[in-house]
Amino acid sequence: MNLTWHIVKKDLRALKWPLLIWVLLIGAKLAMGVLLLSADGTEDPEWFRRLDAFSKILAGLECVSFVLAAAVIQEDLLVGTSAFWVTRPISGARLLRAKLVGLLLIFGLLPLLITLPWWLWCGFGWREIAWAALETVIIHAICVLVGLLWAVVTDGFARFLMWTLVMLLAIPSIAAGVGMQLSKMQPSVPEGVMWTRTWVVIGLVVAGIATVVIQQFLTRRVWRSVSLISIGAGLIVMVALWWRWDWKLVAIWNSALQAQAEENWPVSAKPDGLSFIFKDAKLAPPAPGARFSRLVPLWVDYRVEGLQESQALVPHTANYTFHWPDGSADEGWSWVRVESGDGLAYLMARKALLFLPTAPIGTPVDARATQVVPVATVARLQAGPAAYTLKLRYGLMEIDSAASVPLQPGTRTLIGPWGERITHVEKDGEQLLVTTVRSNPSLAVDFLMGAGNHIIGVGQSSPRQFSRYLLVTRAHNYSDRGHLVWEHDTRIAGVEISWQTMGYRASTKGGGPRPVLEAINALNEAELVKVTFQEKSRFAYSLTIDPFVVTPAAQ
Amino acid sequence: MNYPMNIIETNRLSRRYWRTEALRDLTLTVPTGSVFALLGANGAGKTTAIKVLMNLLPPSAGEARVLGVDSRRLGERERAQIGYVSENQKLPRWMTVRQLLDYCRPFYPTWDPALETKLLGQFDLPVDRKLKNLSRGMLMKAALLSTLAYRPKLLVLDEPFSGLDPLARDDFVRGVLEASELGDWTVLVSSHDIEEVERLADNIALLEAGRLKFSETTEALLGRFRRMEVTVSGATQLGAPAAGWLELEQKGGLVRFIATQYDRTTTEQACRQRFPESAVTAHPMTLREIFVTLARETRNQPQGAAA
Repeated sequence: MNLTWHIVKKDLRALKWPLLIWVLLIGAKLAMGVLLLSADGTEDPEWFRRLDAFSKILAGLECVSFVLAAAVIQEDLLVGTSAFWVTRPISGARLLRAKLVGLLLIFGLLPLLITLPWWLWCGFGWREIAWAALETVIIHAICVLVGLLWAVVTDGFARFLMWTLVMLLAIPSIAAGVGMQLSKMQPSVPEGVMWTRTWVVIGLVVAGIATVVIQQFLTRRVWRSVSLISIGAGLIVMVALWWRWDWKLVAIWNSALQAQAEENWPVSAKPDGLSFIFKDAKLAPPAPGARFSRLVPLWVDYRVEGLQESQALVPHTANYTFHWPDGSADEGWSWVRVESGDGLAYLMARKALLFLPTAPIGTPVDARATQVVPVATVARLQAGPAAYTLKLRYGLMEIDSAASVPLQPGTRTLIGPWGERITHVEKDGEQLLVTTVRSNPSLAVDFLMGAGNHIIGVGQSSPRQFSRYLLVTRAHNYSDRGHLVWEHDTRIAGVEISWQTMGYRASTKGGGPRPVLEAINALNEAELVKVTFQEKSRFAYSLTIDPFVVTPAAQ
Repeated sequence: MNYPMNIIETNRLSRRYWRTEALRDLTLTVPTGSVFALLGANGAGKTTAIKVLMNLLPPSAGEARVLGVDSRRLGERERAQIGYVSENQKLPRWMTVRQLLDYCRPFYPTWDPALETKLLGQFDLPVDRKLKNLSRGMLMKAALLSTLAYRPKLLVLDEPFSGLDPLARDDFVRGVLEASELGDWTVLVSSHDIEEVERLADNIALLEAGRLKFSETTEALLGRFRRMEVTVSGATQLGAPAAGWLELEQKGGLVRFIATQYDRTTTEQACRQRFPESAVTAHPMTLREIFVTLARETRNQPQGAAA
C-alpha cells in the first residue's frame, strides 16, 4: 500500500494546479449559495437570476472533471512504449490501484470535504448528508467514467479529447437512430421491457468501461481494448433495439417504494372522525388512434370532512390501483393537490389572531388526485367498469407557534434542514413587501427514488416543520396570507434556495374598496406574524370506488 | 540470488508491425556480467528487440528470457533489478531531479544513497531544476542516475548517445563504466554510435534488417577483421575474391581487401598463393570501419541475399 500511496501522491503533486482550479470551481459555486442565503434582500430579481446562472455555469464546469480524471490516468500512459512507469517495478495492478485511490480521493473525498461545511451550515442532518454525498459521488462518477474510457486507450491528451468529443457527438446520434427505429416498431415496446433495456444498457456501459480499463491496465493491449469497445457498442445497440425480456423492474421498484411508504405512513394512525368522500372522476379523452402506450390524465376529485379545529392536512403521496373484473390489477402513482378550504391558511389565521375566524370550524377540504394512465387502461375502463382504490398518505399538521416579527430583516432560522430568513421589508404604496430566502434539501434521489412523491427521499422519515407569514390587523379581525410578487429558486449542491417576495395588504374597517390613503395608513396598524407548523402524525387512507365511473373532461 | 549464465536469452524471436517484420528469428545470448552492444543501422531492429526484451512490446513469435524469466512475465521483482534508459522514454518532466530520485527510491530495495550522492556529484546535475528545463544531455544523465543508483543487475541502454554532445557522451559513458565496475552488472546497449560502443562493449551483436548478422566478443571481432594490403610486382589478375575477402581492389601495384576471417598464417598464405612475389601487410580495423564495411557489403548484395 505504501508504494501505491507513493504513486497517488505523485499524481496529486503533478496535477496540483488543475486540482486547485477544480477545487476553486466547487468553492465558488458554494460561495454563490452562501451569497444567495446571506444577501440583504435589496437586490432585484435580476441579481438573483444572474447569480443563479453563474452558479449553474460553475456546476456545469465541475463536469469537466472528466478531463481531470483523464489527466490522472495519463500521468502514466497506458498506450505506447515510452511511458516511464512501464520500465519501473510498478505492475499494472498496482498502478490501477493507485489510480483508483487517486480518483476516489479527488472525485469522492475532496468534493465531499469541501461541500460538508455547506451542508452543515444549511442544517443537514446525517441522513441528508448521506444522500447528498451519494448524489455528489454519483455525478462525479459519471463524469469520471466518461473520462476513463478514452484516457486508457489514447496516447496523449489531444487524442483523448478528440475521441471523447467524437463519443459525445456519436452517442446522441446513435440514440436518435435507435429511437427512430424503435418508434417504427410494431407493436410498440412495452414499458417494462423499455425499462429493462435501459438498465441493461446502463449496466453494459458501466461493466464495459470497467472491463476496458482493467484490461488496459493489466495488459496494455490497446487493440484488444478497442475491440472490446466496439463489441460493447454493438451489444448496447442490439440490446436497445431487440431486448425483449421484462425483468419487472418497474414493479419491483414500485413495490419497494410502496413498502417504504407503508412504513412511513401507517394506516392505523388515521384520526377518528375523518372521512373521505368521492365526488367524481374525469378523464382527458385520448386522441383517436392514439398508441396504447400513450398516457392521458385522469382526475379524481374527493372531499375530506371531519377535520378537527386544530388540525390541517398536507398531502404527501398517493397511489392508485385498478381492480379489473378478471382479477388483474394495474397500479401507478397519483399526485394530490388541495383544491379549496386551505386548512393551513385557516389554522394560521386562527392561531395568529387568537380568535375564531369567520369560516366555520370543520370546513370540508376539496382535493384532487391526478394520475396518468395508458390509453390501454382507458380502453378497458370504457369497455366495462372496474374498482378503483386511491391510497392517500397525509401529514397531520398543527401549529407549533405564532409570533409577531419586526418589520425588518431578521436572522436566519433553521428548523432541521429547512432554513428561512426575512431579507428585506418595505412598504410599497398600500402593500407591504416582504422578501424571504428559504433553503431546503433538494436532491435528485428525492425525485428518482420517489418519482416526485418524496417517499424515501430526504427528510421523509422525520416529521416536517415549516413556517408562513400573515399580515394581521387585529383591530379589524383581519389577516392577509399575502400574494406572490416574484419568486425564483435555484439549486446549489443539494440545497434548494428560494427567494420569494410576498405582498401583504392590511385591512380597513368594513372591507370593500378602500381609499388609497386609508389603505396605506392601515399598514401602520398591522403586524407581521410568523406561524410555524409542526407535523404531528402521518396516516394513510384507502379510498375505494366500486364501480368506478369516469366522465370525459371538457376539452 | 543466482542468475543464469546468460542474463538474456532469445530463441527465434520475431516481431511484426502489420506487414513489416521488424525482427526476424533473433536467437541471441547475453552473458551475465558482459557489456553487450547491439549494433545496427537505423531500422535494423535494435530498439524493437529491446522493447520486446523489456516487455514493452509482445513478440509475434519466439520467446525471450530475461533474468531467467519469460520476458512477457517480467514482474515488479525482476523490474527492480533492471535499469532501462532510452532516448524515447518520457520522463515525468514536471519533476525536479530531486523529485525524480525521491519518486524512484522507494520502489527499489537495493537503492544505494551513497552511490546516488556520488553520481549526483559526478554528473554535476542541478537537483532543484525541473527535468523539462534540462538540456538533453542532462536529461539522459538524470535518467541514468535514477537507474544506476539501485545497482541494477541488468542495465539496458537504448540509443543513449543520440543527440548528446561529446562532453555529455563522455560523462555518460564514464558513468556507466564506473558504475559497472562497482558490481557484477550486465549492460545491454543498443546504438549506432560505434566509437562509444567500442569503449564500452566486450560483446557485440550486429543486426541487419531485423536479423542477427553475428554475435561475438569485441576482441574476437576486432581480431578477425583486417585491412590487407598486398604489394605486387608486375601485372596481375585480381580474379574473384576468396571466401571472407571483401572490397577487393587494385590500384597500380597495390591490392587491397578486407579479410573478415583473418588468421595471420592462413590469410598471408592465401595472399601469397594468389599474388606470388608479393609483400603482405595486415592493418587492424576499428569497430567503425568494420561496421561500415559490413553495411556497405549488405547494401551491395542483391535483395534477399543479405543473410
